[in-house]
Amino acid sequence: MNVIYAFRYFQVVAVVPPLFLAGFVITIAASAVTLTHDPTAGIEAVTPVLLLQLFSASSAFQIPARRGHYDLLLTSGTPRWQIAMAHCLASIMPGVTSWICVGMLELAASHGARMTFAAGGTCMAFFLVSTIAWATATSISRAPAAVGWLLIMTIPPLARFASPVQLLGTEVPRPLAVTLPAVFVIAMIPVGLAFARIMRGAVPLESAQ
Amino acid sequence: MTAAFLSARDVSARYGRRDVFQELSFDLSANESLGVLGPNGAGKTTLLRMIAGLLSPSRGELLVRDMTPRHALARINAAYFAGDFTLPGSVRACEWGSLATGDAITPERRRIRQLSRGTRQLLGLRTVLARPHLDLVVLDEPWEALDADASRWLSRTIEVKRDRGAAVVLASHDLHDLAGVCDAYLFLVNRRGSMWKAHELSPAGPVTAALLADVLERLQADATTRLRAVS
Repeated sequence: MNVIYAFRYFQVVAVVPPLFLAGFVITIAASAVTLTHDPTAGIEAVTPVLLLQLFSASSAFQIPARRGHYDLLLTSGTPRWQIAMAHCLASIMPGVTSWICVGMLELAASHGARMTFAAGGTCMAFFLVSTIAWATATSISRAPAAVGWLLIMTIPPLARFASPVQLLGTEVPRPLAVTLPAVFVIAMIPVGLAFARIMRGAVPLESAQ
Repeated sequence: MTAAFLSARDVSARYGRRDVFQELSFDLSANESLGVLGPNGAGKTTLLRMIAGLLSPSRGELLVRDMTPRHALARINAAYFAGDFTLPGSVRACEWGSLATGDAITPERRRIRQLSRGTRQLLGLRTVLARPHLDLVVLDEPWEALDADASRWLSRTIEVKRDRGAAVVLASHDLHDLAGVCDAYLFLVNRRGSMWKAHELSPAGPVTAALLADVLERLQADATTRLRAVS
């Protein structure tokens, strides 16, 4: 059993509920309408996808694991780091796919003239949102994670400092040699901690404690 | 003498400040089945999850083929099932059934939550027991909610897996389920464990539910007497 089995397992068990998948389809459709009317509205088109990704990637690992939903996978002999990786990929993939779709729509609508979706700031926002949202939600359920994100997005001083939306369409601050490693480290610290939690963590059954 | 496939030495478990059980020691060989008995909350599920590598002992050593269970799982084929409530309700039965081997176990397309409790239990059991060769079988209350036919199928399957070389660990609070099925019995009473081979319990014939109930009652009475003496 390997990472492919783990990935397939998380597709069957659906770490991203169908409601979120429907949400992504709706945001892509809405983006298509927006971009058809105004090909320069790249930021407006990609913002809902980023916000949805914030909640969709907060897929929680420990809660379903403690309900026993992952027992079959956790006892299959698949290494825990591969399980963590597959869970992360399965959680962030719908959002990343939607982002790419919106990008393709922007390219088509502007006849290749505009690429807001691929601007450095947009890529950075998606990278940070996908990784940090997944990592911070590994040991809590989706609802508290969503409350936390809503607070970050709506309380003005917090939003000014931490809202990823303000990165959309911007260029990466220079020098790149400092910014890119800093962004990578900011994203990888929570991801590393989440991997450690999944790899070393005990999985008691909720009903047996 | 056969080498132990599963070996526990002074294994203790605790959740926070609450001791679940202390200093359990037992050995189990391949081709042997162990029944874990005890009242509700005695730690049967906790012990089984330790054997399945999902929990670590708070003290002591639990080894499967001389490795920690989690390391052993990468090298052996194991089946673990903790009950129908552990199945994700939104998944279609046919998709869940295909997760163990890739083969379809059932054509049933309804979601798991739409199935009856017994059907869910049977689906979970058939999925984990689908692999042709298993080295370790760990089942928690496996007969729960099964009808007579399914119970017979389960008992026969467990026997076949054991005879083909699997070490089998079963937990139940219903003594009738385990009577006569296991080669050894581990009684979890008042945070302590006592293990008996079937022939030690009943040299003349198969172990009966009445005999298991009698032993369990005596162990509970002993534990109460000891507690009173201490207080």
